[in-house]
Amino acid sequence: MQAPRPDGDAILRLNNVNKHYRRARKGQADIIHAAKDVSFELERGQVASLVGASGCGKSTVLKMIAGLIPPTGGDIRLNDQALTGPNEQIGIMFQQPTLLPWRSVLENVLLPIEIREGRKAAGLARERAMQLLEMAGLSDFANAVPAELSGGMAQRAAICRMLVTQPEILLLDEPFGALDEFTREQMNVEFERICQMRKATAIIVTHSIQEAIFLADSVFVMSPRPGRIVRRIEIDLPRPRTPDMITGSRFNEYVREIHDLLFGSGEEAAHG
Amino acid sequence: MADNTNVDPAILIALAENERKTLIERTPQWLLVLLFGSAIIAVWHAAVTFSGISQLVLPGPYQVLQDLIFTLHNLFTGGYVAHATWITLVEVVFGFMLAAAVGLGLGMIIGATAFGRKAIMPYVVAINTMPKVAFAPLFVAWFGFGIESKIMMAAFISFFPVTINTAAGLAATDSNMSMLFRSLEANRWQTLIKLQMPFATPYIFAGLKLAAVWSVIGVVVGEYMGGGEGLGELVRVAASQLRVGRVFAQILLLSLMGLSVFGFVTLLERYFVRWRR
Repeated sequence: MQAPRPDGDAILRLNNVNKHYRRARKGQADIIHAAKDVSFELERGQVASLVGASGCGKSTVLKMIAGLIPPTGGDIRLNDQALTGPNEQIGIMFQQPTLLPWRSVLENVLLPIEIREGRKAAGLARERAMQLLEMAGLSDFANAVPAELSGGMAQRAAICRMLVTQPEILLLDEPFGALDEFTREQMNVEFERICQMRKATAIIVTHSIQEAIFLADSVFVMSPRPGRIVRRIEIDLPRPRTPDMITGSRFNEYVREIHDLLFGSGEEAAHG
Repeated sequence: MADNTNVDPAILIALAENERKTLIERTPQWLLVLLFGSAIIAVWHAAVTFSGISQLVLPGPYQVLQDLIFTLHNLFTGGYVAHATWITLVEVVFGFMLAAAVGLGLGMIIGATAFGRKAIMPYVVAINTMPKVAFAPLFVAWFGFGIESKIMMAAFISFFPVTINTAAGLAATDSNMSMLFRSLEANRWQTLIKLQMPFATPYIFAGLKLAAVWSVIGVVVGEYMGGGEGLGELVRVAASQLRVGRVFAQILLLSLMGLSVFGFVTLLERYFVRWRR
């Protein structure tokens, strides 16, 4: 159990985070403003999703939190410590499972431990990894190579790999975007179950409005470039979420609200 | 579902029609290879017989077969062909191993460091554009008439594909996987050993296969220039005596040697790259 923190339970705090890119074009340097004054707080155990059109900088925000790219302004704090690079308390997964094809599924899940703590520690963590694989329904595939897995199974293995070091925050960059619609819905249900079971704190980047609502406690809607958070919408739906909620009226009110923010009233998003 | 009981016969006929293959598609490959080879030998035999061309210039298939039998007999009874084959094999194997070692090392420096990519790579490319066989007399002058000059020549000719493929393989690492390693705070060495090198193995083996063939070329060029006791020297002598059938038989031995080294590398590749489908 975590002890309560003095100033609320904010585990992650972004303060006016900005990201500019330089793009050389015909000898002339263009400065692209990818993310503008992004500020938000995330409490322990909270699941947030970041939704927006492609190119709106939502992935950029996620990669800055992961420490993979440095911001050009503002600061990111984890447990009130400034984040300056990759951190072992942060686990990330991408749209592609990115399993190493020459390793078995189990060895892939153990990779983060092997890299951070060495081979010996990875050997000792085998049991924990097996438990994760069991939770993901992959125990029969522990010794299989990634080529033998279906897309959904590979992505579940990637979830296990992200969880094996027990990070405080999970970052998911369009995690199920490459899967077909049926597998995707199934993965959403499973991922929600895992999040609830582990009381995970997570940020999910997606361009699917339904997915954003289904998984999250709060949806952050981002405007097109320069990406800003135009609204934070609290999703008041009971847990665990079930697929039949997607057709419910409350769910669809959220869909309409976010849809209007993204497509309907472009002026508001452009100026605001 | 296996449900063959109630299938409309019209469907079976239509299926058979869909699956119909041409005669060539139905014939096994070995038979086609054999037939095509026989046809070429027949044309060769006819050309030699009816053109009245001298056996000294182009011997017929039968003459070549006799020379081949003589050469193989000499090889397996431990005659001078066996000695020459052994010498050449040693040169090829050492030349290949040297090329593999130099190519891997240089390729890793070029592929894994910015200095290598920017400062060393241009020189490697420049060397590759040179006609490398032209260096053969120099290698004889530097390393003598023994096997050393042939080994060096073979390595010099064949290190390039290993270098380039190693460098290209290291640079081709999947960007998502690199990002994963960065998020795990992997150091440079871990990234090289656990990600980039395994990722590059299919590329490296493609380079090694080229090097296997090229090192035979390098050895033969070295032997043509620098004499010695290998198969290349036997070919040179036989050619100067206009024994063309012998030349063919010895070249066949050389190509079998190249094929063996190639086959060995392929076996290694099957072992190391068995994850690839």
